[in-house]
Amino acid sequence: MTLTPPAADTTPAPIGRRLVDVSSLPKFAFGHRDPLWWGVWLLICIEGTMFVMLAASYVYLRGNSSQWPPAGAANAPLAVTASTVALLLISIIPTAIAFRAALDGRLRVIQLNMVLVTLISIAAAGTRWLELTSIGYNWNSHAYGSVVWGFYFMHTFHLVSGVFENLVFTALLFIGPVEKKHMVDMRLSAIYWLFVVVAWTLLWGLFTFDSLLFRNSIIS
Amino acid sequence: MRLLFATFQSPLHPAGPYARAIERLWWVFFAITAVIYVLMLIGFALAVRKGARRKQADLSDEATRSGARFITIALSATTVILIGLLFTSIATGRDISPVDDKVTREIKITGHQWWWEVQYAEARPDMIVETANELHLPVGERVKLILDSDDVIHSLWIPNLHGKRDLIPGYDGVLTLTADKTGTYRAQCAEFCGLQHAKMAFLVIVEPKADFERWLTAQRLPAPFPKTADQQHGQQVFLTSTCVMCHAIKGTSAGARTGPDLTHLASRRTLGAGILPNTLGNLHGWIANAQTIKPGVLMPPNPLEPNDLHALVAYLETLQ
Amino acid sequence: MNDQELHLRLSATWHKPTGLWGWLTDNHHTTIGKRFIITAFVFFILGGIEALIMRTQLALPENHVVSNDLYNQLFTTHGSTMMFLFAVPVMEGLGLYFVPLMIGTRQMAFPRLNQFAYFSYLIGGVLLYVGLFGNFGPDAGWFAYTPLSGPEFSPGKRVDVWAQMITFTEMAALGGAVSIIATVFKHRAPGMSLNRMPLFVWGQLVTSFMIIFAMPSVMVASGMLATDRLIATHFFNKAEGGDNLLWQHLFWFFGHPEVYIIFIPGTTMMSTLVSAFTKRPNFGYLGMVLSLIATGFIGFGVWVHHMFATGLPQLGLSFFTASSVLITIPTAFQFFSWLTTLWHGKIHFHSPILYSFSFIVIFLIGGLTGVMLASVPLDWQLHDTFFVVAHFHYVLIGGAIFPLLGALTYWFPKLTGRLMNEKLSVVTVSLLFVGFNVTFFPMHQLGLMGMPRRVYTYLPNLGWTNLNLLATVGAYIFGLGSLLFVLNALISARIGVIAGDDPWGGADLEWATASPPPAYNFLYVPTVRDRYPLWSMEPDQPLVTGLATDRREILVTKLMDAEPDHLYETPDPSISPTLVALGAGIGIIAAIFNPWGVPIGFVLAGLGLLGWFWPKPPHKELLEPQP
Ligand code: HEA
Ligand code: HEA
Ligand code: HEC
Ligand code: CUA
Ligand SMILES: [Cu+2]
Repeated sequence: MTLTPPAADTTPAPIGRRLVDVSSLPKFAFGHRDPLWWGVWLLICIEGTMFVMLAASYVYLRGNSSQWPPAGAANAPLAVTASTVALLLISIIPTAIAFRAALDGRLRVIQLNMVLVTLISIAAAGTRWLELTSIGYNWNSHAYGSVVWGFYFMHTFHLVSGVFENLVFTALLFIGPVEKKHMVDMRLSAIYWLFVVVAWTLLWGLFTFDSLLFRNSIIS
Repeated sequence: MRLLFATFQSPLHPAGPYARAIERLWWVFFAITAVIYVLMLIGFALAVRKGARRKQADLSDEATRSGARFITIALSATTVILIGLLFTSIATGRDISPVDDKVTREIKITGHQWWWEVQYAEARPDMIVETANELHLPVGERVKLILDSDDVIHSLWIPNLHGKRDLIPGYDGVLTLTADKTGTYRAQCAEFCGLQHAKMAFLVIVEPKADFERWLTAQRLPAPFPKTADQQHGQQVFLTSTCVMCHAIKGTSAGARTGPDLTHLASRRTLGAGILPNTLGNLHGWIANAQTIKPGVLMPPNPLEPNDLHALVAYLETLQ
Repeated sequence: MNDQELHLRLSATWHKPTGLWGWLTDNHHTTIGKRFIITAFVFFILGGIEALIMRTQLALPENHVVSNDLYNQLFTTHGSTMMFLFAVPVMEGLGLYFVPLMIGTRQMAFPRLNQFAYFSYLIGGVLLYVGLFGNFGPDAGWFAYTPLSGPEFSPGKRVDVWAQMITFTEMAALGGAVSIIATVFKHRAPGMSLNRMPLFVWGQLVTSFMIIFAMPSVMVASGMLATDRLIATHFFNKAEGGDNLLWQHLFWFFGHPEVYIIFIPGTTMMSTLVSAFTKRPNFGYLGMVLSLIATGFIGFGVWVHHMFATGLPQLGLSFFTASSVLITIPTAFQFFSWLTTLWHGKIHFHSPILYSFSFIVIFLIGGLTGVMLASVPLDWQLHDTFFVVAHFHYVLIGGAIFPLLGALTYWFPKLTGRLMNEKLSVVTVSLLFVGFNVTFFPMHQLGLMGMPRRVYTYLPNLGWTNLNLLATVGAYIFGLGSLLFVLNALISARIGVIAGDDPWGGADLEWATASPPPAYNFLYVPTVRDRYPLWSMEPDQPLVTGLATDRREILVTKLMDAEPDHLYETPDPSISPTLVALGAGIGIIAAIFNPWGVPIGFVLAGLGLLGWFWPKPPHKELLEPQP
């Protein structure tokens, strides 16, 4: 806090009062100093809770079923589902680099890595499409189908929005003009993308390694 | 009519050990919370009087200290009382859910929209008694009720005998209870179950062992063959109209399970799941158009010729 | 530049657009907050009228005022309206209006999110009432248990209307919550460290966090219900491996926190009133704050006490008895604190404090019956009877509506510039108090006499007639009181006594500006040195200068100690958030008839979002490309 007279074009000083002049403060800040950072994390809390509730429903339904997954319920081939996860996980690297570079505004590095993130995320959306078309049951086949399709629906929704966001963002980085303040947004969108990646990795792990996670896979 | 509802459906008129334990617990809770309530109100009245008479707010350290002391004491007392209540409650909870299943009889009760199916289990299938909307219990015996539902969630509540337990499709709920006072008690569905949740009740008749056995034996018999021509005509009406699509009368070809078993209809005290006394007039009205009595009921109106209807009722009246 | 000139400049920058276009585009927190409050009151009246119809039906046995079909729609709509369209939004509305004023800032953190929230809320509420008036109102109760609410036993569109209404109101509540949290964390006036925030603001913070972690659960649940109904998934279909208790767990995991989301703001209004009318800080500030937080946490661990009768294992149930009992301790702390504050304060008898006294007399009964219900054996007898109906009206109306009406009377000047008529207020609170108890006290006894809830009628010979008649009479008295409150508000807003900035000698920053506040809230953003800034304000308490006057600039401060940190520009009025709500609305409503509504709504909302996030022309430091 400084107690100095205000700059000319901003709120002036009333006569005879002690003052806190804020005109020289920065116009943006990184991390938890930024209101939008809270907005993004709260959004992640909300959606994360939704994913947790879905996962909890999976575990609950599983506990009440005699056979889980039901006989003949074939998931998409492991190779395909695993490649989606692999792509998502790989995308963390350029995301992290861009995230770091945003701190001191190294535009070239950011541009390069955002292009990579975008390409990888598009590829992941592609393998996701392959997954969706090769699941061996439907959402109306049985409760297992409903809940796993629920995972897919919720997450694909996020994945598509994430891809879209990456695309728009990367385009803006090239079209410009790029403000310093955009670096804050860049980091926020990276955080959100990481959430999209982590959420799926956990959900995928849950239903793919079901038999490892839960001992009594087939009770009946 | 008076006799029908002579004993009210109230948890405060227990007719069995479990309901009695809960009633006792209720009075314990009631007394303690009433005392707390009165004390708190006195406290507030005093505080308001004090605060109203002051010249100005007391901001002294002394006030802060005495306030803190009061809060600490009051909060500790609250905690102690709460722990006491908690343990009393848990103790009662144990008393009323016996684990040592020393039960003499299993009865399966299935909820339907909006009536109750009752089945007395027996080892031999032909000994099984099926009835509806009326539960007979021998006094002093511990019976186990197996609770299931055929459609939505219902809740079985016989307040004079025990607390309620939900009937959830696919879950076999269990409620063990004992009645130690003979009498007629009323039970009502407690979980909202659709259009006629309000009119889904039944009577529980607790009777001496001998009476109960007599009743049970009678219920095992198939329906007698109708004697008079009128009654025989009535049976024909029953067997040739839509009734057979939903109802069963043992001893005839009617065997459908959608509606209540009517084999011993005339022995029951109520119609339509505990809402009407089982009289000739009511039976007429019910069969002609149950919708006016219980709107939404899953039994369609039956536009029968007057004499057919008459004969039908006459036949049903023989189903003792 | 003198104050007058500054006022003109700030007014131009922060001007609130008017007319229909203004109504669709304004995002100022006072506008949105007031709108939430008024809309919520409209729903309160609608829900109240439904309650009166129900009470009229129940006045006599075998009555024929409404059919059973309509009765079921009425109590479902009544419960859903009161919980989702009245109690939660009205509390949030007060938060939107007063939090920025109480923490000394010019705007909320995410004004467009608030704007979006309001329109979602409006669309959801209108949907419910279009349903009711079009005879496809939901009829499965406000917690819509499956399988009754499922495709098999509730064909038609009724329950779909309910499920989608939930989606809208959840979006609204969540949007408001995110915005409130960020505002409380980042917009506080310099010097207002976390431990100097008014208790009301703490209450808003805690409820917002509860909203964030509770509402997703019911969104997932209502989503599952909707897909079960629309595209034949099997989440709640036993035959295909689904489970009906899953619904109950998911619903009550939200449903119980929900009641504290309504109650916590109520208690903090109590604290505000008690301290304002005793001219004394609340006793045990730290304890009060911890009580709110503890209530918020424990509130997530008691949900199974709504499911005691489902036949879950005893041991598990006892755990939930214990947690339900535990949650009374923070509430007890608050009670003892108010008592002490009243004792050591100087009580000024104005109508708002009468509402607080009613709170104490009424809520206490509700709290104690809550403790009875928390006991598993007692609950087995009392569950789903009118005893429960009595319990929750005692806690809801006693714990939230009475403080709310008191707080509205207290804050009325800040909302309208005028005071409510005092004599009329005293009559109102008396009518409400008497009417309330006459309505709901007999319901305890009805429950103990075996009357289940949600019955459209009962037989004459069960002995329930007199008490029901009494309750009905009471409901009309209470209705008269509510009507009087509404009339008083409408009339006083026009011809009431001009209040001036600070008619009560209040302690918090909202009284440091004009009534009603100008569009920019504070000519100079204030600074704060302790918990009751206006009671301890020094004549030369520093003011903040240096905020831009030509754009909507906000001072962002640090999370813990509220040191000035950086400047942040909040957006001008815009139509996009309204369009997003509209787009989502079209999609969600269309989804009732065809699942393709979801992607369509997604795209429509996406178009609106494009406008929302479209980058503004830069006027800041550009980033130089670096090699
Ligand atoms: C504002 C909302 C609100 C609040 C604050 C509460 C507060 C409490 N509620 Fe209530 N409740 C509801 C709203 C609320 N409830 C609703 C809406 C339902 C029904 C939903 C439906 O089915 O439709 C419900 C139902 C409900 C049930 C389920 C009943 C059933 O369906 O069978 C239970 C059971 O445990 C319960 C318990 C409690 C408890 C223990 C508290 C406690 O928090 C109360 C604590 C307060 C006090 C106890 C008073 C102050 C304390 C003192 C003065 C200290 C001294 C006291 C002692 C030593 C005991 N509530
Ligand atoms: C905050 C929540 C809240 C509030 C304020 C109320 C308020 C009231 N409630 Fe409600 N109630 C619930 C929440 C609430 N309720 C819930 C959650 C349920 C459970 C639903 C379910 O089972 O699914 C329920 C259920 C419920 C039932 C049980 C129904 C049943 O189980 O069969 C009853 C019965 O008496 C009832 C009565 C009342 C009454 C008389 C009021 C009165 O206090 C209302 C008073 C208000 C008015 C009367 C309006 C005043 C306005 C006017 C008179 C018009 C003026 C017009 C102009 C100005 C133009 N409520
Ligand atoms: C579509 C199915 C259906 C048909 C057809 C039908 N009923 Fe019913 N009936 C029911 C159902 C369901 C009930 C239980 C209604 C309730 O109480 O909610 C019932 C109840 C009854 C009862 C009262 C039983 C009791 O214990 O309370 C009688 C008596 C009865 N039906 C007789 C008849 C007769 C006679 C006919 C033919 C003329 C008939 N029903 C046709 C479905 C049917
Ligand atoms: Cu069956 Cu209510
Ligand atoms: Cu609860």
